Amino acid sequence: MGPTVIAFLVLYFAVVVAIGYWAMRKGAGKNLEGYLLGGRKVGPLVTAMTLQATSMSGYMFLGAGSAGYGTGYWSLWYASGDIGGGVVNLSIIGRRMRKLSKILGSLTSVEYLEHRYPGAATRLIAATLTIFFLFFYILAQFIAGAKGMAKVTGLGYEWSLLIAVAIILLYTYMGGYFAVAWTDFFQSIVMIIGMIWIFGACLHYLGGFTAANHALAALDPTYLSVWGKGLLNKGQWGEVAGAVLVFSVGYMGWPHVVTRHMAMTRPSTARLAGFYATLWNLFFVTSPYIIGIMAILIVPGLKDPEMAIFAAAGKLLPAAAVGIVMAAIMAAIMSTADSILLQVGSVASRDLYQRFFRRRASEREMVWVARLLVLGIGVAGYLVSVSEPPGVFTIVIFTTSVLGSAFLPAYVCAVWWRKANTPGAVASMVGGAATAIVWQLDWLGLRTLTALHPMFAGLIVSILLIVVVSLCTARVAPVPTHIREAMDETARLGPIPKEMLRSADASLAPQAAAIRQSL
Amino acid sequence: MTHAVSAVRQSVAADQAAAIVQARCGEFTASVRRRVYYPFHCFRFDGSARVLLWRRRLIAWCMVDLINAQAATCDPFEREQADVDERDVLRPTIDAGRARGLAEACIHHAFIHRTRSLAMPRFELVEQHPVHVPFWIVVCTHPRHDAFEAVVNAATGGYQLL
Repeated sequence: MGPTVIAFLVLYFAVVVAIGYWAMRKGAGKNLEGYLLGGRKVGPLVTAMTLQATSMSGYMFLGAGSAGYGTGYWSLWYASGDIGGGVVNLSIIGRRMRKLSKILGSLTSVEYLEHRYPGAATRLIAATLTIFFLFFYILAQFIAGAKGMAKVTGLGYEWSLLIAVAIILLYTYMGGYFAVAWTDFFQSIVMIIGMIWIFGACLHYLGGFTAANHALAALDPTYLSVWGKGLLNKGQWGEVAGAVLVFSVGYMGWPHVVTRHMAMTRPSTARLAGFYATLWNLFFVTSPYIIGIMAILIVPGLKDPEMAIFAAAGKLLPAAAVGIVMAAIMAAIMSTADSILLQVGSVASRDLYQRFFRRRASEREMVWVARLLVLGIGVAGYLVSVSEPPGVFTIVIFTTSVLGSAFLPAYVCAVWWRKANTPGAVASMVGGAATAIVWQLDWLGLRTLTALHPMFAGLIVSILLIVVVSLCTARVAPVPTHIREAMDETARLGPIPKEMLRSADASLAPQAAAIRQSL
Repeated sequence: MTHAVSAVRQSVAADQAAAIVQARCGEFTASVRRRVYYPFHCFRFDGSARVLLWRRRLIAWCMVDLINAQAATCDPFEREQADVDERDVLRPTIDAGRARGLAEACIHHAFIHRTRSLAMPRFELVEQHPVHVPFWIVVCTHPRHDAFEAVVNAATGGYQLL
């Protein structure tokens, strides 16, 4: 790709910095810093787009595209789960979790788990699993960034990886841009434009959906099958169920997504955000898979299927448009990578270092711990990725399956089942994660034997463990009274009108509880 | 017995508090039962952090709930002296020293996550004072259903069920 693409990429970053600077100057007279650190909010649309920009990662452009390119319409099972995933999450744990986390005074998702399932083991296991498996998710962003960089600059993969890792780390250390909400909003707009552009160009090139499907059928009719290319997964409903579950309920196991549930102040905000998220997902989630499928015809015989969308863009779009698409990809990678790195840094410094090593650690010390860990992740990520880089699709599905299997039952039972106790939650986290890993790696041929997707297998074990162990240990490890009371409070509906519940301010729940006790 | 307390300026009167709840409670009838004052400790930190090539000035306000020992960032607010019956003032369970530690942790956490920056901000405490937030307790009654109560923040108008 030529200098025009690079010029547009540079222009894109310049515009993002300029927007951030403009937003800072504009707000300076109105105490913008107060806004950043205070409680004021931007509008619901900007908020929703910001959340989406953060959650859409390099996976959408590389992983999803490669899934479509490699397996055809089978890949849409993953997309189908993703479309409604946000709404499912909000419906199942959203309102109750928001309220319970406020009453228990939890700042992070790991802290919330420890408050609900009291015990050092809960935090130790949850924090360790979070750090270890989010590392893989960050790894996927490094690889995606490196592949994009290599395509744009023409440099070798090793150098591109080094540059991508350095940029992402620097971006995280130095504070990215100035006004996060507005720059994320801009980045989400660029992602939409980039995706629509390449999607439209592919359709135009192939003469529409029908013509594209006919061409695919002529090439290999199994591309159009719901069982995948070569009918690889024919009759394997356990694999289908897992593919749908990964992004429909798997999100509930992501600590950085759960943190967002805890942050929403009103259920009405969550409903509106869910509406916008679904609108976004309807288009944005399915498009990269379909572009990947169309790329089978546009750029056949790619050595690396993850380059399907890059290659299609390079073939069909003018250089300037390729620059915008590349910018969209980099936007997706950067906005996700820095969020997760910060999340991992927080868990390491607050939930592990301060909790288990130095209770009186200063804030400065904890920032250094987070920085060192982020640097360690960068170095380790580089070493892992440079030697034998795994596919972005594989990494993201693996990570989501393990985190979902580990945490989903613990989070759901935390608000829905009063008997869920600490031993049950710990067993569920460990057993769920271990099962998903065993199935993913197909140890002992278990995945082949059972034809179950790792996410599905992990969830079954995880759910069974939390139920059985909680019931068996109910007498020796009862759920503390204050937690039962807090759960009753979160579940309390009675004759109270729904509108009353929807508009309630969850941030006032702790004060309401204290006032009720004092009365 | 009454005494003066420093309180966040009240902007929602009793009838307005009842109206806020009434607008959402359907066939229930909302009426204000009493007002209570909730103890917080407010901190203002001034500081700066390097972001890209610039050093960025920061002003951060933080309120610490002196009963639940929870901290949250907030916007600046106006205060007033209020003469209140001491039975209407809730008793704090933590002191200002512990509150300061919670506030500092909260400010750093908020800075890192809201600016998405692993930068090291320098904060200096420039102001602190105890402050009370007035809450209206509103009771909702219905001829056929059990009554329920809500608290309305008399400064912001936000509410929560009791």
